[in-house]
Amino acid sequence: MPIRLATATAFLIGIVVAAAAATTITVGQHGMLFTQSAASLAKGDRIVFTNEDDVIHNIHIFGPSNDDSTDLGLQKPGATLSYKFDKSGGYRIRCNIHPSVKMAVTVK
Amino acid sequence: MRDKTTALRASIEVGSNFHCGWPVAVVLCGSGYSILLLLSAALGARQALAVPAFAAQTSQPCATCHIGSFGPQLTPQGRDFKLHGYIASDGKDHGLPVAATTQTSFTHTESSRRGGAAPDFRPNDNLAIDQVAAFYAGRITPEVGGFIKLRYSGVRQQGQVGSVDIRHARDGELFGQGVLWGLTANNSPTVQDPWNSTPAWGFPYVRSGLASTPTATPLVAGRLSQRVAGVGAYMLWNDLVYWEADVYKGLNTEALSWVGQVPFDGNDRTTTVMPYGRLALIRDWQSHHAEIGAFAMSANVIPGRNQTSGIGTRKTDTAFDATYQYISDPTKVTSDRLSAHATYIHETARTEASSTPALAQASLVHPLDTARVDISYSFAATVTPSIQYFRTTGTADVKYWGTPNGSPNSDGMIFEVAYVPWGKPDSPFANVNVRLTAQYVNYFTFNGSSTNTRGNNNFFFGFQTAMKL
Repeated sequence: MPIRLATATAFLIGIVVAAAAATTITVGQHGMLFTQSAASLAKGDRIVFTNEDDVIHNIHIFGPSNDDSTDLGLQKPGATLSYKFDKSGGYRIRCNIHPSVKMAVTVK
Repeated sequence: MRDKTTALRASIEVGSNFHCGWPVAVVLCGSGYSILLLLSAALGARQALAVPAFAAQTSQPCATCHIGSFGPQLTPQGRDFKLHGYIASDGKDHGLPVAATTQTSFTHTESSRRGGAAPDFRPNDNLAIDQVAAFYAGRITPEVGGFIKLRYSGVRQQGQVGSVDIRHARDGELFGQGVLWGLTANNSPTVQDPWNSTPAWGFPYVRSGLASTPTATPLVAGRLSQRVAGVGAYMLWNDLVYWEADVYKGLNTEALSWVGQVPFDGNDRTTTVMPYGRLALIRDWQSHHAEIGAFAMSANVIPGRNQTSGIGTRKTDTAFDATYQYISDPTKVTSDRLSAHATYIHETARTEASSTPALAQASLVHPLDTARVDISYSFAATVTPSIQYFRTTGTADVKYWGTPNGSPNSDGMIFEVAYVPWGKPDSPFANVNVRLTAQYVNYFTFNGSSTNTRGNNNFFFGFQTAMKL
């Protein structure tokens, strides 16, 4: 019984630790700029993009390899979108509509 | 699409028969407005857009890129879109990026112009269809975008190729910092510039074609517009330094005729190669944008009003400019915006030494200095009052400037209020925008004279429309 209890406890702690390791950060599109120009993440982390402007945005994520490209589609004012960074490497994020809305992400 | 194109053609044909002098003006202009209203009604109800083809391509309202919700005054986003080659897009298929604009107006000058303000116009109080224009504005290929304007002038009663700017741009890195570089092919020095403190897109953004304007104008301030073809390269490094170099070639007589220009008019003539350079420093912080820069151009020309009896003149223009913009709430394209511009151009015109009797008494060097300062405040991207002071000074020479006392000096002020009801995120009409402008031009000095200048003062009431086809 103590062995089973210890195993279960270790398993639960593992889940909690794993869940805590995957963090989510929020980046706003505010005044036609991202609220931060760069971010450093761990594999599996997520960014939530919040459109704080009163016009449509269109986030596009490039990387980590030259062939990787994900278009998150049109994002209305007030809407949020999220993206999980599953691969290590460097990413470039920009708005297809507003070239000034851009940031760099490094995933370790 | 074919129906809309046909409608545009009909509109242009109406414009081409328009003279709009009294008394036929009211009837014909009435017909023109009816057609515009029918076109507007036919275009359905969605968000209203700016050069509407650009706006449709990006799903943005006019106010995103234009202060006052109507071109050509650019916001930081408008400059960014232009510098990136007009290709930013929402990824949807909006058809060909074709748009149409019209400009109709009423002009009253304080003194009537004997013989009419222009051929087929009355001496004063004229209604006019100043311009009907069609644009290709947006992506040409995924990597190349452009702005190509074809226009019909109801004052000159002539069709022309208007402003052209075709671009390719890329983002990269230089010295560890971001760099945007690009190539441009255009037909007018400064038409490619993204700041409204250079001549091609400077204030006033609309003015009467039927009121007198001062004779003396520097080369770079429009004397070569649409009369040259040029290519250039530009670079914006670290969002701090903007650099550009272009080379232009004057069109020959045949080419000028082909693009709808009058080969021998008041503009300078040249078929030589001309260099143009531009350098600017920019800074964006919080709600502010500031730019300070310089540009220069040099060319061998034959001055346009035959003031050198056809003898070549080397004109060299050196200019300095500055722009400041304050955006009260950057998250709202309809927030109030303050905008100010300053431009100073120094021109040296050096006429070739000659024993020609016509020039024997004339000076061979003609300096000209022009300065302009304007400020505007756009309330909710809807009502935009503006004011400008302008001044031109130079050395007197009756033969060269052709003014009564030989002086090229002019100065005065322009007062304007523009009203744009649409072009905002919540506007009711799809692909359509309009601007109403009331403008008063007041001269203190006109062509060297500070007496009897009031007759050149003028009221201008303009009505512009813009729609995506």
